[in-house]
Amino acid sequence: MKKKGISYFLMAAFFAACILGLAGCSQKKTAEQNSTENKIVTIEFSYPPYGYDSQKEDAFWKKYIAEFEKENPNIKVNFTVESWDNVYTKWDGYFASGDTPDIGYADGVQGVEYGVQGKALPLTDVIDALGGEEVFTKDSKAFQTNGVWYSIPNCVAAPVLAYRKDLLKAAGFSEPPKTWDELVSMSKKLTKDGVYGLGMFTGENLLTQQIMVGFMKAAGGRVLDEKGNVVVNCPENLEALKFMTDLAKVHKVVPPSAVDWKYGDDVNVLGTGKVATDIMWGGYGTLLESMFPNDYQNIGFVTMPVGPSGHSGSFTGSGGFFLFNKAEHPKEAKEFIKFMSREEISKEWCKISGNVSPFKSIANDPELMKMEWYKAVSQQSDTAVELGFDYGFVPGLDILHTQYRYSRTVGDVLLRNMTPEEALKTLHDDCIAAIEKAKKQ
Amino acid sequence: MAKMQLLNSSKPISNFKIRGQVLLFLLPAFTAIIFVMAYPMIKGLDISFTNRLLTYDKYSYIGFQNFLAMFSDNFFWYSLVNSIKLTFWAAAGTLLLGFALAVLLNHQFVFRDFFRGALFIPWVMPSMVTALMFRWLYNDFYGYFNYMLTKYHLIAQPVNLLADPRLAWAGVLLPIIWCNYPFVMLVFLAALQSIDKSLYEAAHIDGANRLQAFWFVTLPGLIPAFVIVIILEIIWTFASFDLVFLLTRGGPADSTLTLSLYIYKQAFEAKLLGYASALGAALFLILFFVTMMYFSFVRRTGFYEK
Amino acid sequence: MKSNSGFWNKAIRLVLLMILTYVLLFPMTVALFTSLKPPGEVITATPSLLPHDFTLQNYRVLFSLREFPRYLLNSFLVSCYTALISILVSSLAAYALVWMNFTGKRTIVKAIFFTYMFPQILLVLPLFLMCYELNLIDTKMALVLTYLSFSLPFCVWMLKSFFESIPEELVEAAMLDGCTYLQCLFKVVLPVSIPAVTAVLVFSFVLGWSEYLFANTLIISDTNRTIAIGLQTLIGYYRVDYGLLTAASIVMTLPVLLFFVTVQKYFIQGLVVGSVKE
Repeated sequence: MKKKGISYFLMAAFFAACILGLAGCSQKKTAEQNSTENKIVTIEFSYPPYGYDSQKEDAFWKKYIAEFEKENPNIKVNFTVESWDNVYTKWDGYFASGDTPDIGYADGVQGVEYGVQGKALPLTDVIDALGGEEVFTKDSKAFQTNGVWYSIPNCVAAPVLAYRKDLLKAAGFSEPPKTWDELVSMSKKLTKDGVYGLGMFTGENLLTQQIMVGFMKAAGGRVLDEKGNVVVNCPENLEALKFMTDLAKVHKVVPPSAVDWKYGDDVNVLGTGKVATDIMWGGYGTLLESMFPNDYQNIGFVTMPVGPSGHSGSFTGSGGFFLFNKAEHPKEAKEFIKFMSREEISKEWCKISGNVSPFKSIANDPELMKMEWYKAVSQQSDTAVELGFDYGFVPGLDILHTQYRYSRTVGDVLLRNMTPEEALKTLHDDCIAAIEKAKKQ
Repeated sequence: MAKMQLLNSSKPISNFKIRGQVLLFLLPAFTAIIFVMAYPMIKGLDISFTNRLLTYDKYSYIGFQNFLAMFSDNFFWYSLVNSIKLTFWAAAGTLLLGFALAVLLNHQFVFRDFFRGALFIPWVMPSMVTALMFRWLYNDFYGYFNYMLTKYHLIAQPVNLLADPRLAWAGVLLPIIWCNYPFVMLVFLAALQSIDKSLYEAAHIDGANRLQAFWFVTLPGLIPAFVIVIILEIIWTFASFDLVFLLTRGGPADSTLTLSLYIYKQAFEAKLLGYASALGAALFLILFFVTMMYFSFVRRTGFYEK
Repeated sequence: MKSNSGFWNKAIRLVLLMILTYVLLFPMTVALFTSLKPPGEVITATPSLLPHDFTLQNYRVLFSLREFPRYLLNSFLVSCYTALISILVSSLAAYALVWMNFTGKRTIVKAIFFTYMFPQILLVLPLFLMCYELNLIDTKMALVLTYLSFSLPFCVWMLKSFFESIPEELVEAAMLDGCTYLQCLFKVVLPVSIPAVTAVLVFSFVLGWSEYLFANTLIISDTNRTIAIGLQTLIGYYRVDYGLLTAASIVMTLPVLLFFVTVQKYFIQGLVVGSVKE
């Protein structure tokens, strides 16, 4: 009997140890409860990384959150860097469970989508407190719908044309290509000895989609007309698709392995001098010095070449703060957003993150414009299109974006031997079907 | 079976008490498994009968429509065939490599412990590190493989395995095998050591040479290990997701699109949660039947008494 | 003559093994040397295996990030809990399956095995929601439970096979002495099962150490991240900082490797009886 007792005791002790150990893991919750007793409010901030250099970016957020907490001793900010792989899944989980953070950070169209679905709070009052919509550049219109703002613009960026000054010079060019025709003729001459004239993503992924949308814009194409009809299958879009796919398929100036580029392969290829020009996000400018200490001065940035429409075109990425509908402390969260929108912080943010400011007062700041990448992105922004391709949030079409459906059209031509006409027609039909389906839902 | 009867006859315990004990012993394991598996499975099955979209809250039950749609979905069949191909080659490669290494390691020599330890490393590597390292090695502009192959004039032009729709399979296979072989190697090593040494002596006395001894003693001794490793490899590779996802995301031109990847894409990119759940149920059923058939085949051949 | 051929046999075997090991460990060799290179040497058009300038810069950066040791510790804790609880729970279940007589045993063994067949990718979202309802999100407990359910089927099955090889007289004698089942398990069965327990320990530890998918969804705050997830925060999202990545992968492989090398004898013994002997 005694023996039995010992054995049971040992087992109970083991279980208890396990449970205690596990309970120790969830200390966070109790700490929070204590802080509410002292009337200190903790706001949760869920943020996918928008800066290119993660170490600089981390330091930036930590520094200014600490400053904010010093200015507002009753507010604590709990900052979480999310992973791009699953941030939307995670947020979907938050929405479904109803237990959300206070602040999120996403592109303008995403914020509007959440707002329209009732998942994000309107923030027009914050916009007014910051000086109204006049203080923002025109890219910022994607952050509102029908006059209601669902997120506060914080950064804007666009893919631009990066180029190797040394390779261009060696081939006898003093300036990077300015038009589509120049892009073709110059890249053809630059393609030799294992070096390709133009680097751009051609696989079925987000970046290819962004580049294609940029070409469509430069050609003067659209997805929806004023009445909301799908006009994907228009001659301008066809011209853009033909131009983009011909670069790879007919002129062969794009590396064939670009169909598999991922995880910043483009910047590596440019840095090793294996492509002479490259369509890439201007923000990489902040990384080049540390990645390629011997070559970074050879890399320049300009706006994308001008297309048949007479202007250049690119895609816009943007980022801004939004409030989850179930935010526990919206008042304090708004204070934080206002704090982070201060001029000197916004300026610092642009410099380290590789983005352009959405504030008119800083967007063309002479100090920032000294950086080549910043200048290119800032100028590019005028001719760039949002994820929603100028039409904002249309239920159904958002699914085509997350599917990278546009990039599939490029893949159809490059890898599945469809003609550009067929590929574009399929995209056109899919757009119509997606909108119809969303209406039925 | 004999030992049970012996135990029970020597120490009669009431049926009720045993049942209570059995429950106590099995409960912890079952709680953990049911907690993580059963609820999501039931939830998944429930969703598979709806037209639910990922970010849209409204949905309705549509009966078996998702399951019927599967039959006319070319991508389903295509990715299923891809999965089968990948599983077959991955399992074959892993088995072969693991087996060869086990045979080589199954002798006493100076650095045996070192080799065992070193060859175990890939098993510990997080899939993200494995995928990124292999992507780098494969790269046609700054990767080691192409650099060395072109330097020694083994190939004229650099080739990026992952960028060619015809070769991407090989590119995905290598890292999968690389990650999986250590486990197989260790199981085979264990199996080799469990073979009774006196059998070899007997074979030697009977005049068998090395090859014959290997064929008639070693291989039969390894059958139980083969049986279990094969089915584990099949299940793990068929349902695996992260390596292919991190390496190619199914591209280029869908050439490495496996069923698990297709499920992911349907659920999280096309947002068709209902349809993806139906596909998930299909994957489960396929594995279920494969395993059943496999074990009944094994039982009928009588290799593995269980 | 005979000893001579034995020598050549051994030599050939060793050479073959060395070649195979070199090929198989090539990615690890690249990782090791890359971690010792300065940033400018990492991505070049003419890659060289050995660094031009040896530097410990990457390791210095790695350990100057105050999150990194925490990620390591988190991984260690999660893996340890998974391993220890796996042993306890699976030995109980295996004991019941071997030494207790009840109906439906076969079905249970099969049912446990079938849990491997459900695609993990579909478990993610429901599991996330469920953890939310139970207030388990962002706790190590959620991860431990998840990994436990992945490791248990294999562990139960392995311990079960090992227990079956234990001479029945041993258990029988203990039972006749008046031991309860529980005492019998802890005093008689487990002490002679050290090899199998080691095998279970290694298997479930490794599983928790490098898992990515669930750690990425169930853990939210930075303070609770495991190393497999923390890696991504360290290397950046827009490009891969191979210097940091390789340094981190070396650092995270070492402890597991050392652990494995110390226990490998038991581990293999455990597999010998546990999984393959019939």
